[in-house]
Amino acid sequence: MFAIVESQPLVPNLYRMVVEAPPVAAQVKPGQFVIVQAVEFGERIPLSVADWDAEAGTLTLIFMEVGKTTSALAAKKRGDALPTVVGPLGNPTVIEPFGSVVCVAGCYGIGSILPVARALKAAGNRVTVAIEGRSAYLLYGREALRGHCDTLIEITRDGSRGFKGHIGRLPEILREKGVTADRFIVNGCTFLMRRASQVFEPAGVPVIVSLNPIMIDGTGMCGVCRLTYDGKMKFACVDGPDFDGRLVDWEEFLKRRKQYVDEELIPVHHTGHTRCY
Amino acid sequence: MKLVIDNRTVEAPEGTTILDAARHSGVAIPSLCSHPELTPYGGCRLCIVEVEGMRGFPTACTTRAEEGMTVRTVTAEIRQLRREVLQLILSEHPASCLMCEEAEACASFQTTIRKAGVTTGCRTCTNDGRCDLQEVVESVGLEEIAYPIYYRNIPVEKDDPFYDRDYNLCILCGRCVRICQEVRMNGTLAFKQRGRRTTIGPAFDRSHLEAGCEFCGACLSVCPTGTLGEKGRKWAGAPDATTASACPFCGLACDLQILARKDTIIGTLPPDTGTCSGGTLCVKGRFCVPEAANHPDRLAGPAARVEGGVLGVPMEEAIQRAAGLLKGVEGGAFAMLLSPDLSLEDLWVAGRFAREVMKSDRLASTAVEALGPAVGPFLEVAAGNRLADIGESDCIVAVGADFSYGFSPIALRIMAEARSGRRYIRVGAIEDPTAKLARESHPHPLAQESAFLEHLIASAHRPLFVLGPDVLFPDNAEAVLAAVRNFTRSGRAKALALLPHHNLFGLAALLGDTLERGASALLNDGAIRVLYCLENLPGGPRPAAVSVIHQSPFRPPASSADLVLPAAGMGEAPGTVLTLDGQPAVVRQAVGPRGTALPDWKILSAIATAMGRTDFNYADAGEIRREMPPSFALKPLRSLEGQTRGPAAAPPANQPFLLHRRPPYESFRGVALNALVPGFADLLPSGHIAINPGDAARLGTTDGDIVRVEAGGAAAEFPVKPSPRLTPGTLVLIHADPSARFPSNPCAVNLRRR
Repeated sequence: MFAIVESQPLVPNLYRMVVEAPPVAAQVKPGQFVIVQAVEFGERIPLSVADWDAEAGTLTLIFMEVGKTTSALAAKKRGDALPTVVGPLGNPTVIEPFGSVVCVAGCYGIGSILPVARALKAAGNRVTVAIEGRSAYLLYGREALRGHCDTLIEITRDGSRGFKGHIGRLPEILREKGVTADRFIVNGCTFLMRRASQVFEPAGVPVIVSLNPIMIDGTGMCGVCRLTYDGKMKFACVDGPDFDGRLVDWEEFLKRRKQYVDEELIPVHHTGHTRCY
Repeated sequence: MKLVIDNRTVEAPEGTTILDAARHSGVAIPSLCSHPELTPYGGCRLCIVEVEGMRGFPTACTTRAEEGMTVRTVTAEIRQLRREVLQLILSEHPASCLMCEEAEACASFQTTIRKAGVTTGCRTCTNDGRCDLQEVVESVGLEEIAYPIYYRNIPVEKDDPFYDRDYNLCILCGRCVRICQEVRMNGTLAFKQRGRRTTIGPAFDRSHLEAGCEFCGACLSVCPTGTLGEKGRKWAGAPDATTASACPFCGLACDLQILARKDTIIGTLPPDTGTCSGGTLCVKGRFCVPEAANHPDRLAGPAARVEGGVLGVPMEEAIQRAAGLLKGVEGGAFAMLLSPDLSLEDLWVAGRFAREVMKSDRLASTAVEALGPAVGPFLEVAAGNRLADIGESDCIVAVGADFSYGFSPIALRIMAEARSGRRYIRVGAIEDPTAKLARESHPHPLAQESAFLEHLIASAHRPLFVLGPDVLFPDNAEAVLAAVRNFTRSGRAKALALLPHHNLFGLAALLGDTLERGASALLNDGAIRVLYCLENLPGGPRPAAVSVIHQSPFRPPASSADLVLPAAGMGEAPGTVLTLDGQPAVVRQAVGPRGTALPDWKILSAIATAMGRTDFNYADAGEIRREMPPSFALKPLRSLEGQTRGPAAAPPANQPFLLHRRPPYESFRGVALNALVPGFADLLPSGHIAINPGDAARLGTTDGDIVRVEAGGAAAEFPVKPSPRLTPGTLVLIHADPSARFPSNPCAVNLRRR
């Protein structure tokens, strides 16, 4: 069992959990993920690692409540434990001195972009971080991010903080600020990653996305996370999770992601309660 | 009366509001708080208009239309004001999706993200696409919110059964409060706090369950936002088909709309009255249908016991196997158990099958047996049921009627009568929502039943007894029912008996004369070669019969069936039932049967045909209906006549509680509703001692604590369930297990914390 050291809501739907997993904490690198279970015999889900403390042997996970397993996770308190935390899994995000890197993050991606930005900065890059959300009350982590980037941009749908709009506004904002990018790195929901891949296409530089397909074992055995990338079949778990979004077959990726939408509703609708797991 | 609205002369009846007059003449005025079933409130301020000669901008919903009035509903100033009002509303409602430049792309994109725990925009809202607020924003036209956004950050309330409440989305229109008070006459909901802390809920921070909520869902039906979310279909999306049908959970067979999506039942609503109608349904009809219809224990195909286990088989093979099992079995070697939830068509074919094919009249029903020996006189009284009697009597006496979680339309009529001054008297153990309007409340009579009831109606000219199912279970049930029957026979009073099962009348009318005494006798009869359980296979030990055929929408209890035949479930086959007042009600098909399931009559007909019969070739339910007699007379339940029980004992002083026991008669196709629907088990759990909260506190117990119940020499232990519906000193135990035996019912008991 993996003890939960901290667990609290960050903003509506997003939770931060610190869990003891010393072997993972000792090896994890930015962009990697773990597979967790909320309950024994429960579903296995991949979560990006948002931070770690190798000395204390802890991992920080930031996740969104979107279904049965994540709401069971959200209900966990300090002192509870997780039956499974497997990792680090996947390839780390490539960190090199690229020059100018623009990191874009939304939702739970705001959590996992922090170690990426930190490493990029340490590697000597000029780092711009853009975080986006529907409204000011959904943005978090800006203080922590500010310490690891040169420019922090905030975008909200209703303009309640920073710029008003969505990802589509970002190229214009970057132009205004005089930022040119040698690389984009996008962490967040599928919609954000796909739109970012389209929006940044004209820049002619890689748009690295951290894919989030349905995944079971995370070690290349089950094949559930497969996708078509540059015309070839890849597994998000062992070949990714980072890919150049410009080469991802998004239509297929989305279809696979929606594959079990009806089944996913069964445990949510037929327990009679959402509180009992 | 004539007035001018937007330069058009319109007619309006005396006493209407400007809003109604405008809507009747086809002029749309935006509004969020008004509702045709509710008193005007003037809360949202969107329906402001200009009236010549009046100062300012009166709200159309609260201003009476008058002869010769000149009203303007759209001017530049009104438009501007409405936009301001709407912006103020939306500044406290997560509305960013409404003005998002990516809204269209995002909507077409939607994936699993929709099942968010908290709604932070339309795309993660359970009400997306069927939201009054979205419609109003569309009609008023709004591109941005100029005011600071204020998110209230109120924790989402998820602890009550059936629906969640996220008051971060609430716009305080008060529709839910008004429908709870005005239409349901319940009053669970009220405004709490003030200013920007205002929310809605029961006073004193009680849970809805504690506050006496009936979970009728009227509040959900009228909410113009996604504040209230139905747990059972939060993320199912908007329905793609709506079928007017009848509720399957009791003899009222209330009209309801079945909502379906992708050929699956996702919910129900009260009958469509042209608007989002309010709350005529009880919790069962409003919330339990989809959960029972789509229960994980639903059967999708037949199965047969073979050596070493259970094997899924195709339907044709299952029919052949059934014919094989039944071959050569005749007369007393064949017996059939039936559910009183089956349609007339199913019962008709089942009756023919048993009598003509199997030459047996060994038919019984465990559900009917569970109602006890008083069910015979109960049904005899029920034969005179006329719903119109409620409005025509001058004194209504409800006996053993618990209106908390059932029979809502009757309760609403009684309460309406009581509010208009009609005398209403309650006799029974439970403090239901009608209690506050009762002139008198009495405990169940334990002796001199006839004199007691006579006394209650002494001054009335046209008294009406309303008998609930709970009248059936006390030891003196027959005496009470005999007294009522005497009143109705002599014309002194009328009576209305509330039938706990969907088609109890149909079962009694078609098969009453052959229903054998004691279904449990059939279960224990080892001489039976084949026991055919038609939607009626109780849990517990395997029946003694050599072979057991289980036909039901639901999986059989563990290892008790040799052949399992999947029957069409709720809303999956058309049929007819006899309702409370003996009228046929049509149940329509809303979705296709699950898997290879078939209507019960079709399976029976196929087996009969496989056994060589040529006269079971019905094309559809209508053909069966045409074969049945055009009307039905109630037949006496042969099995249940002539049984008597001893008189109830008076409670001794050292046993301060009176324990009432009853079976879980709220059921569907042979399965208790509290076993099918967990939320319903929160309301009426089996095997719990329901106790007054004050009594529970005095004993030092809370929900789930185990107490020891002692009566004379008998003792048993149960968890407690505090319930505001119980008066001090009263206990109720819902129990299907006869081993929970006490010397009498009701029974004076002592309670001790374990």
